[in-house]
Amino acid sequence: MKNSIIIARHEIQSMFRERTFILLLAVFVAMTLASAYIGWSSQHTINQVYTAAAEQLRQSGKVAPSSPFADYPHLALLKNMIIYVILIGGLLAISTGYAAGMRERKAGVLKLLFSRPISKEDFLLGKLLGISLVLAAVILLAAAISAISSAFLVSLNAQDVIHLFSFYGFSWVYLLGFAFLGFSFALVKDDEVVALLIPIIFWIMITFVLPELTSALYPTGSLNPTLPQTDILQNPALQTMHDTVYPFSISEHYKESAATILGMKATGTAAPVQSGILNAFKIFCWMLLGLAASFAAVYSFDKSRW
Amino acid sequence: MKYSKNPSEKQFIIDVRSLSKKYGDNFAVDGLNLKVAEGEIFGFLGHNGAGKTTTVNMLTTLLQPTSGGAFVAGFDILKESVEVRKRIGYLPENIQLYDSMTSYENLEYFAKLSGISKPEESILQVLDFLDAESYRDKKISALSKGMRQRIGIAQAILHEPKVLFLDEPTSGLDPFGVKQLRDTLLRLNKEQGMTIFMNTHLLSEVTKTCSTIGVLSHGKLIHSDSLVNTMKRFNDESSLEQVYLTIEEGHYEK
Repeated sequence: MKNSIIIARHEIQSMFRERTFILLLAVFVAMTLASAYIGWSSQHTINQVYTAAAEQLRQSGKVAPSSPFADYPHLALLKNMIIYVILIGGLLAISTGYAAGMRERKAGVLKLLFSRPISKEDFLLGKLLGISLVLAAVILLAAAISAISSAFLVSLNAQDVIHLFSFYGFSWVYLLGFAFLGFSFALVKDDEVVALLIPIIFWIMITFVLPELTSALYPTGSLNPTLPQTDILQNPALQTMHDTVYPFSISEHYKESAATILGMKATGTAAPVQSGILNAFKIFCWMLLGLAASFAAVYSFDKSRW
Repeated sequence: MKYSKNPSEKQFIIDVRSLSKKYGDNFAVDGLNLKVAEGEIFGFLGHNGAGKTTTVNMLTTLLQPTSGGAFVAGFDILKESVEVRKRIGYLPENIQLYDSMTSYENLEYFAKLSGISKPEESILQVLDFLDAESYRDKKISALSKGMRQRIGIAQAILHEPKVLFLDEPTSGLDPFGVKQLRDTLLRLNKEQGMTIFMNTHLLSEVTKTCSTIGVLSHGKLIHSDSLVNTMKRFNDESSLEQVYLTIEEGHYEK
């Protein structure tokens, strides 16, 4: 365990010197900073439109219906973060895992490292711990930024803060799956480009292709990227496609669970969404899949090669 | 100090027994039997692809043998690989280190992984021994090949190993670097009693550094003796180069 901690510490130190990582981190932090304002701004605009419309109705002697956005949850202003985690966070996680797996290969020190009294288990645990802590630091930073910026825009209560940190904790688990996948392929693939390309293809499949075959089939899917709002998917072929692909659509399970954690709920006409616990369990399984790939990669790679 | 599990062979710090490594149908190392006594500087000679690096990879526990085994510093390379690695230092061919880190950071990392409790003290001692204190805070990427080699040796001897394995250590060094390396190895051997196992092509270096030699050809050991005895045995030859070629050619004729 002592060696694993030494390796993890080294990993963290090295990661924050990686240019690609720093660049993606900067983009992620910038988007986190922007997300609360963007969320608040769009909500503010909607409220202004409602107020103007209600005023017009009142002037024409009609009764204005109550605002459907009046009881919108405070944390709804962070709903863009769900998309940023999926898009930029996913890439950042792959980049983190890939860099961790490739570091010794690129430096040409793998043989040197394994000439020291460390085992493959030490190496694996150290790397996984390092990757997890680096992503935890990123997530904590994003959570702190979101908490502070949200507190400026709306009044957050204690429960909101707990939900906010739960959302980021859940996002961390989701991102670990990508990071572990990036780490695994960096270890086992001879070609550095292929090693990066494979996890990115996974990311494209999970982020874009599978949702296109499931929630994007709903007419309102593009209007609300986090929760399907209607259940008018009446074409049997599309329904079959949706039902077949949906269990594997990890990003959608993440989106639905994350939206629920932030307090957003599907409206009464919403398409059926799986239970939150089942969705969360699938995200956990996704992370475990990445973990299993890491174990397989470490035990199969030849330490005398590089 | 006892090194071999076999009491009759306790004087040998490296004891290789029928060691083989097979890739597909080809033997990279074929039934190698070799013994190196404590305190020797052993020169392991052979043509390109003879199996020298594969042998070192197996002895340093980086590579699993197909059959056979070996004891290094009294420990089985198969069953006690961690114990073996605690007692060896290793310098691969064309030493590479973490480029983005300084010499000190690199050494500190390897020192900690070697279980050194006070890395700073050991690092300063080793840098002083190698006359490399001025590289301490320089990034590896800013060092020349010769300087890197010295930091590479520093990482290999930080934990005061019993045996130092060097794979083509003079590769890419200029004559000054070669001389510095030779002086360092001789000092390590003389002052610390370190056993040195060196894969090399440079026959001139072998004559100046090694006490015993082994010649490997196509994975098989075709000669192993002290340098003095080898030169006596082939007293018609004018140089080690001639001796080496005679041994190699003799083997080929077989």
